[in-house]
Amino acid sequence: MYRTQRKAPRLAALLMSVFLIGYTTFALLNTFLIPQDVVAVTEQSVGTSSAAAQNTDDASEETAGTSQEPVVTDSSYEADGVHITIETTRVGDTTVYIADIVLDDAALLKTGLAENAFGRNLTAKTSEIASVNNAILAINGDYYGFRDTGYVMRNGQLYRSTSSDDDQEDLVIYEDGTMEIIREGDVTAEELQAAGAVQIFSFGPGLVENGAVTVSEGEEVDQSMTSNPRTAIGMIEEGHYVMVVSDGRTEESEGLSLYELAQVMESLGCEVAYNLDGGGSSTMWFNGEVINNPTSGRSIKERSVSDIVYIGY
Amino acid sequence: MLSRFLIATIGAVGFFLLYDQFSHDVRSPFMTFLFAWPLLLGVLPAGLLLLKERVKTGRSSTAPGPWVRLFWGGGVAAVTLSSMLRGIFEIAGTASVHQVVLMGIGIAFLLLAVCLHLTGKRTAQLRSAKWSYSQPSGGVSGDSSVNA
Repeated sequence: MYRTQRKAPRLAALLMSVFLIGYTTFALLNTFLIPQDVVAVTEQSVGTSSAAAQNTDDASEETAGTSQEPVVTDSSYEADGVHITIETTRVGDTTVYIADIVLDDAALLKTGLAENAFGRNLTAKTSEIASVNNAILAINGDYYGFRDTGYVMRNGQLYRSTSSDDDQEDLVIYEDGTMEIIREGDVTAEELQAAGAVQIFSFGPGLVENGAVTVSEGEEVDQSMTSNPRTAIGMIEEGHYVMVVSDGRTEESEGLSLYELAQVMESLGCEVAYNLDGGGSSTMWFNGEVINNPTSGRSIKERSVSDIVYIGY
Repeated sequence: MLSRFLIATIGAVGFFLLYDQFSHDVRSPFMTFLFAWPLLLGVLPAGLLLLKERVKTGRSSTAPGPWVRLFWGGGVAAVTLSSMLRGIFEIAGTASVHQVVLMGIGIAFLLLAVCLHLTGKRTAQLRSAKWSYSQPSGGVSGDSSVNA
């Protein structure tokens, strides 16, 4: 019997190995590190901010003769049109930070982007983005830059209108200051923009709608199965909002489940409440400093994120 | 080749156990069952082939050639890496097209290996038949009908 005995060139095996390892490495870098699809924030996109700035300028002129400095304490901020109180409480084995916000002008509820631009893998710490935007109070956003789909609108500018899933629940903030939870399969981002939306977040799920909890006890975000640090935003009524951040993954704070977070938002009187990015991203910044304990589980330190939600002029 | 697939299988289990320590109880089936690819596509067929060769002692003409082994091994590596990527992405809460591309490359390599193996078997059979007929009468074949 004739038998062929040829040894595959070692070069071919080497090339194949290099290719597979190289492509895998590229995939990881491209997904987690390399900035992509960068779009700088334009003047139009800060239209809401500009209007607020104009309002601030007008207000400053009006009060020039009777200028009133904001009254700031460790747990409160009082100024014309802005009333913020911070409460730190315990929910089970978890420390929870609750910011109660009353605004005369809904335009003071804004969002900020890392490096002042939209794009995948553009990140910065919540405190850095807050400082750049002169935020009074800030929390991390929906970390849109970790995904390629899902509606993204910030300060009136639509950056991404690609739906991630028909059942994806988004939070919409309209220019009149009202909030609504929508499903991407029911409405397009363009339609929301035409209806007066100024902010669209795509993380979720919705926690409270019409004053009632909408998540089940076993429900979780994607593959998560345990208690975690959490971030949520809610509306009690037009102009009256709450931002909630919980610690977690530490001995001091176990973290909250999605259902427990929803219960907290409901107990605060929220008509609408929405879950934002949690885990190591959960950060609350107030009065120039981070007031919670952000952690990924190994050390207390901020995680860099794509965006923030903040109160500022 | 069996030993290499065994090492890959054990390595996949080890990678999952290590990654699970840092994933905060977030899991993906593509990471949890990462070991299944080298096990089912590597260890199992390699083991069966080895068993077959030992049963039919001396009959190794059906053993895959070196190019077949190269592309099959590359295919198993590619689909395993694709599964690893998808597991990493799902645990992190993101997604990427790259793991789909890698899976496609892996499947292509596997199919190419199968084609090469089948082609090689057919070629070996034809060569074997040609060699048999080319033997002189009274030779090894001992087939008197040839001499007629």
